[in-house]
This record gives sequence, structure tokens and C-alpha cells, in this order.
Amino acid sequence: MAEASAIRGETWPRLLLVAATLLAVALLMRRGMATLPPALWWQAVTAPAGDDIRQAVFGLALLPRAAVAVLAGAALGLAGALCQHALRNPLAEPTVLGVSAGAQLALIVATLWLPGALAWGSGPPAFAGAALAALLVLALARRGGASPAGIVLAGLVLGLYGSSLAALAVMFHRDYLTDILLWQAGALDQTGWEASAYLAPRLALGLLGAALLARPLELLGLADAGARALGLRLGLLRGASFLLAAGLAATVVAAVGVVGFVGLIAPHLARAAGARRLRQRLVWSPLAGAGLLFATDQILQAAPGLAVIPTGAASSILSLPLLLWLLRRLGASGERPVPAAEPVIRRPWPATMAACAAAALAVVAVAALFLGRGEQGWEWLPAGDAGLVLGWRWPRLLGVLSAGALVAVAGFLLQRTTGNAMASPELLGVSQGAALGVTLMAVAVPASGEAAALLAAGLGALAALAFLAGTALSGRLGAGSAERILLAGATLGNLYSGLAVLLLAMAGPRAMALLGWMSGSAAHLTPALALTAACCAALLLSAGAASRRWLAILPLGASTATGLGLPPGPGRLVLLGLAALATAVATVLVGPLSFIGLLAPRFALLAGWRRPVETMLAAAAAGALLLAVADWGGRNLIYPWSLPAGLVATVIGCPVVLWLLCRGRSAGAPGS
Amino acid sequence: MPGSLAAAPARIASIAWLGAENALALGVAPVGVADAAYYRQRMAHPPLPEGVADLGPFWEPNLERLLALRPDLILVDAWSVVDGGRLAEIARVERIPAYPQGSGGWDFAIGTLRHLGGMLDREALAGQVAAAAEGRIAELRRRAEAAGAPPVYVGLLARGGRNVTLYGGPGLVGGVLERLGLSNAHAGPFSAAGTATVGLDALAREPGAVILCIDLATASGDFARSIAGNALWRSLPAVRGGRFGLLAGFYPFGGLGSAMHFAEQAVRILEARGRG
Repeated sequence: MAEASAIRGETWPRLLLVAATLLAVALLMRRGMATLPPALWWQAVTAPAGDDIRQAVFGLALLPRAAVAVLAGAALGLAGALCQHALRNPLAEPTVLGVSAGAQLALIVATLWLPGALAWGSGPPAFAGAALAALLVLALARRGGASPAGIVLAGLVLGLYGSSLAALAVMFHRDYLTDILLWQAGALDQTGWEASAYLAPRLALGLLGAALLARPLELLGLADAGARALGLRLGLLRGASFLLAAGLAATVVAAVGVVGFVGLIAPHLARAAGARRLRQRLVWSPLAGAGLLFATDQILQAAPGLAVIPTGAASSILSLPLLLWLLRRLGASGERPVPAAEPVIRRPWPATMAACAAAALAVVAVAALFLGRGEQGWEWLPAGDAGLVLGWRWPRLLGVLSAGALVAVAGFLLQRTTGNAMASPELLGVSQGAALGVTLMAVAVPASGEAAALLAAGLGALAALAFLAGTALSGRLGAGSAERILLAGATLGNLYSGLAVLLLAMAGPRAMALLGWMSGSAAHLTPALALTAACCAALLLSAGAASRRWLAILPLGASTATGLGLPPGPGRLVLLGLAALATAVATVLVGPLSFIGLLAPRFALLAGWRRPVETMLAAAAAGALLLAVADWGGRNLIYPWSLPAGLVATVIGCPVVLWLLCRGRSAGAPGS
Repeated sequence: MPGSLAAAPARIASIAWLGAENALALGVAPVGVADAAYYRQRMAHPPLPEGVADLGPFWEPNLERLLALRPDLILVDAWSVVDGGRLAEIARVERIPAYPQGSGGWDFAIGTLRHLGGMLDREALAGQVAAAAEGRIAELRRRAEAAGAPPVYVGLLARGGRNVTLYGGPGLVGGVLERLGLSNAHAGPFSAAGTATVGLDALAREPGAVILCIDLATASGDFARSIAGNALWRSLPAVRGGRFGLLAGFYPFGGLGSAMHFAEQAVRILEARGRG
């Protein structure tokens, strides 16, 4: 009986795939016939008449585009299947793991600053970037002994870092804005067969590599212990298949840009269609990916009004329902105990550190209020305008300090609840929700100023919060569920970014303004906003202090917590909710503050604090300090220009975080 | 008169490029422009005088420098995300509206110029500049008709040459083409900003069209490279027929000055194609 129903269950995915592919072929034929009489099709491909533009469009745009969709889809499907199997992670995929972002960033850097690196085309830099990102993810995963979700979180953080850097690069090379947006949105338009010729042999190599890895990988599909007993070099094998996937992803990025989520869906579709064994999946995932991307692309071109949507962005959006379904299933099976907390050791330094922090805070406050670059170089408040300038600087300082504290505490709460050191507030998807809100408003309402932007950011953040709440309430509240909520938020955040990129491409010169605004700016902090932020920070700290029992007990694991009479479910939910609210407030006020939420709790641990409330306060102080320094630096480094505080913190903070995380155990995650 | 600035010449700081261009057209050099270096690169006609201060990026202009420049008037785009309240503490703020739906980009350009003229007590001059532009564009229209008035694509080729951003619709380019009696070879749809980013094959739909490409200083090398190996580009009827020209220093979101600079170049290219 079970067997029969399983086979019936396989029918729908199979039908879906076949129907999608047939539809795509039909649409392509229709498009082809509208372009050129079928009698001339063969000639258009083999020996096109130079003076017939219809033949050129058919043979140089229409067909190559379809071929690229098929090839790129297949490469991504294969990459996804390899990633998911190697990392034993149903959500693993090059876009999610930051590998595509790495390739993308390397390409941008090469284009802007190292044109020599493009001498052999965009392949080598893209591959270098992808490989670097893949190695970083692997290193992070190894160090943490990370759970599948942990690896994905590390990858998502890397991806966020990549897109922050890309935004920074574009600010100083505005001529490249459209090009970079097009890359990020994965436009499949073609003007010849070059991209197909580039993709085809590399896909073939990838398939060959997969065929070689299939058998040992299949053994890996058994339990780790069993595979180890078989004497397999487990890490090496995983690394090899992950790198192969990264290579495939880099190939696609170099050929057409970032195409999201085909790699995520295709393996699941293949599995749902009945490809149970790995070798089957390595065959069917590329086929499913090819069919999916081909169909998406053809439907987009055929649907009136949708043709302007780049295919990569569209494929991300279309995959949302499937993703939600996957997350539900993951929630049912993905329970995982949170590792026990480190022993509480009081080191001698906290008192000294607290004094240092207070002194540093005072110095930063004085500098932020009084010292800055002006028309006569460095000056101590511009003479004559002191009152007005101070009236601008104090709300900015207060707002930045509060936002830094808010994000730092949000990060602390998230890390405490999930037991994952890479749980960063950006992963909640709230920042991206706010960004999407602003972008939507900008495109829908051509003339709308900063007040409308704030409102739209708030609404976008609220929508993201509602989604998070829905995810949290729909699933069981086990240990894995906190990570699952983060994954849901982060994945949705990725989708938002895809949409925002797509909308930005339509915004004309406003795109740059929006990009600047979304990178985080403290310039629009009015006294009212700053005071609101300060109140929110104070409220958050008191709420955190009030839940210190949860903060102390949750990291000990679900069974210990229940044994102590404190079932973990409600506590997790409350703490996650606090973190999400804090992130939303900070994002709306100062923009997405990447990496403060990762860095600040880490510094608090390094300084020797272990008790929950103390650590939280220390993290808040560190976050406030970091962001204030970043804001002051951002204002003065390239006067009269300014760098968004969030970006400065990101650029400096990310390498520090990675270094700290890779350095290993001594500064383990709070609660890990 | 109400709404005008008492003392002339006014000190204008323009966060909106369109405002700076209009001020220059009215004979008032702004004291500061947002992203002045990029302005000089993209809007070379008329050139921004030396010594005009850079106000920083237009999405986050440096308020303290703005304050130090002691402007009487700050021009800012209606869609700007800069805090209007802060700007108002420095000087009077005037918002430049976005492209209105319905009325064309040409009327918009004339309207913003006249509006600024009113504020600067230079209404007469603004009227003269507008009238001169109307006269000149009528003349250019006759020349365009004499050159056959072909449909025109106006675009910016993406690096790599697979996509192109086309201009038209409610934007400046759409308005100027209308005044020149030229039809936009790209039927649209265009965004509210008057842009459409599409695949290069969009340029094949109107076989008799002329292609006008904006020439970016930073992209000239890329441009040559991306069209050299671009089979579809070489097959385009306009390219095969030599009906193709580069627009130097044209920023498609400028004002009347940009409009005229574009119109002059466009007609010159159309005529050269007719002779060649």
C-alpha cells in the first residue's frame, strides 16, 4: 500500500516537469514562428543570410537564449544536488551558501579594479571568488562542527557580505550600476552562441566529475559512522563535491550572472519525482533544473509585461512556495540538541574592560559631537554654526549608539537561542523586507520623499516580522526550530533582495539613492527618531534582563531546561520575537547594520563575560561603540562624501568575525 | 514678487542635477552640486565652472559643508531620501517634481526652468531661454524631417553588449523625440523614470530605425570590445546600414540644456546618415 501511494505521489512532480518542458518548447516554437517562417529555421542556424534580421534574431538571440537557459539550469541543478548531498543539507545550494555571491563579487572587483584579470574572460575570477567563498564556508563548518543549518547560516552571512561590498563598489562607480544590477538579477538575453559554448563543456566536465564522485558519495549517504567504518576520507570527499558544485555555480555566474534557487528546487523535484538514489538524482536534478529554468524563461518572455523581469530574479520569486514547504518538512525532522554551554568562568578582566568601554564611549562621544573634518581641514566644531551642527550631531550619535546596542543585543539573543555563532540579525530577513518596502514604494510612487521611505521601510520590516511569526507558530518549537526560523527569514531575505534588484533596475537615477539609503545611513536621524531608538534600546535591555533565566537555561539544552521546570518553547519564541523587533527598529532607523550583531556578542565573550545579563550589557556597549566609531569614520574618511556606517562596520567587521570564528573553540558561540 | 529670492545673485546649492543645469542656463553658477565630479563627467554641456563645491553623494549630501556654503536656496529632487527638515534649517528648499504622467518630458524640462526663473527673479531670462529652445527645436525638427525622420532608438548599451537600457516614455528623451517629430522605435513599456532595460534583440524590431547610443567615458573601451564580437549587433539593420551614432556627454535625466544637447547631436547624426 505504502509503495503504491508513494508511486502515485511521484506522478505529480513528473507530470509537472514534463508539462513545464512541453510548455516551454511550445512557447519557444510559437516565438520562433512569430520571428521567422519555420522553413528558414534550419538555414538561420547553419548558414544565416546576413541581410535577414529575422534569421539573426532567431539564430543569435532566440535559440541561444533557450540553450543557455537549459545549460545553466542543468549546471545549477547538478550543483544543488551535489551540495545537498555532500553537506547532507536540504537547503544547501550555491546561491544560499554564498558561493554565487563570491563569484559575483570577484567579477565586480576584476571589472572595476583589475581588468587584467579578465584577460581570459570572466571565468577565472568568477571561479576564484566562488572557490574562496566555498573554502570559507567549509572552514567555518569544520570549525564549528556545524550543523547543516549552521553551514547554511555561514553561507548566507558570506552572501550578505558580498552584496554589501558590491553596493559599496557601485557607489563609487555609478556608471556600472545597471550592469551590476543585471548580473545580480541573472538576465539571460543572448547575442550569439558564446555563452552556450562556454557553458556546455564545463557542464560536461561537471557531469563527469559527478559520475566519478557518485559511488563514494552514495556511501556517504549512509550514516557518518558507517561511512567512516568503510575507511572513506569523509571530509575530503565532501570538500571535493562541494568544490565541484562551486565550480559549476561560478561557471553560471560568469556566463549569465546570479540565477537563484534553481539549484535548490531541482534536486527536490527530482527526489519527489522518484529519484531516490544519489546516482538517479545526479541524473535527474540537472534535467529538472534545465526544464525549470527553460520553462521560467519562456513563460517570462511570453507573458505580456513580464519580459522585462530578468530570469534569475524571477526564478527566485517563483520558488518561494516550494521553499516554504521545504522548511515545514525540515522542521518536522530537523531536531537537534543545542550543545551544552561553556562552563561559567569569571576571568579577572571584566571590571577593567568595563572601565575601558566607558572611557572609549566617552572619547567616541566627544569626537562624534565636536571633532570632524570641515572646510578648513580637521576642526573642533565649525565656528559660527556650532549650535546648528551640534543639533544635528547629537541625534545622530544617540541614534547610532542606540541602533548599535539594539542590533548587538538582537544578535546576542539569537545566538543564545539557536546556539549558533553565525546567527546574525541580518538573517531574519527584516532588513531586506525594509529594503524591499522602500524600493516598491519608490517605483510605485514616483515622487515620494524621506518620510514615505521611512514608512515603507517600517511596513516592509513588519511584513517580514509577520512572516517570521507565521513560521515560528506553524512549526514545533524544538531546538532546531530556532534555526529553522532564521533559515526561513534569511531565505525570504534573499528573495526580497532579488526583487529589490529587479525593481532598482527600473528606477532610473533613483536607484542609486535607494541603494545608498539601503546601505544604512544615519544622516536622517532626527531628535525624535533618535530618542525613539534610545527608548527602544532601553526597553530591549530591560526585557533581556527580565528573561535572564531563559538566557541562562536555554543553552543547556531542551531536556535540561524542561528538567529545571522551564520548557524551552515559549522562551525561544519570546527571545526570537525580541530580537526581530529590535532588528526591525534598528533597520528602519539606520538601515541594515551588517555584522554588528555578529561582532558585538563575540567581543563581549572575548572580554571575559559569561553571565547572560552581563554579557548582554557588554554586547550592547560593544555594538554601540562599534557603530558610533564606524559612523564617525564614515563621515570623515572621505569628506565631503560619507560611507554608510553599516557598510563601514561590515567591511571592517566581517574579516574580524571570520577570523574569530575560524580561530576556533576558545571563543566559542555563546551557548555552544 | 512672492516666492522669489530678494537678493540676487542667489547662492544656489543643488542636490538635484537638473536644478544645477537649470541654474547654469539662467546664468547662475551654483555654489555646490551633489557628486560634482560625476556631474562633470556625465553632463559636460554646459560645463560646471571650476570651484563649484562637491556636496557629496546625492543620497547623503554633506549637510555641514552645505551649511558652510551659506546657500539661499537648495534644490532637491522630489524623490530624494534626504531629510527635508534638516535642509530647511540651512536655507529655503525647493523640490523638483518627478516626471509628470501624461505631459511630456519636454514640457517638464521647460516647466522646471521657468519655475526656477521665477524663484530667482529671472523670469524674463527663463522665458527667453525657453523661447530660444522652442525656436531651435522647431528648426531641428525641420532638419530631421528633411533627413527622412526615421524612427529612433536611444539607449545605453550594457557592458557585455547583451542588454540595452532604452529611453523614452515620460522621460526627457521621449519628450525631445516628440518635439523633433521622430517616433521612438521602442514601443515600450517604459518605467516612470522613462527607462526600459531589455535584451539587445529589442533593437531588431524596427528595421528602418537609427540607433543612438549614449557614450560613457568609462565604457568606451568596453563598448568597442562588446560590439566587436557581438554577432547580433553586427546583424542589426541599423548597424549594417551605418545608421548608428554615439551621443557624447548626454545625461538622460537632465533638463532643457541636456534636451537641446541631445537634440542637436541626434539631428546631426540623422543628417550624416542621410549623406553617407
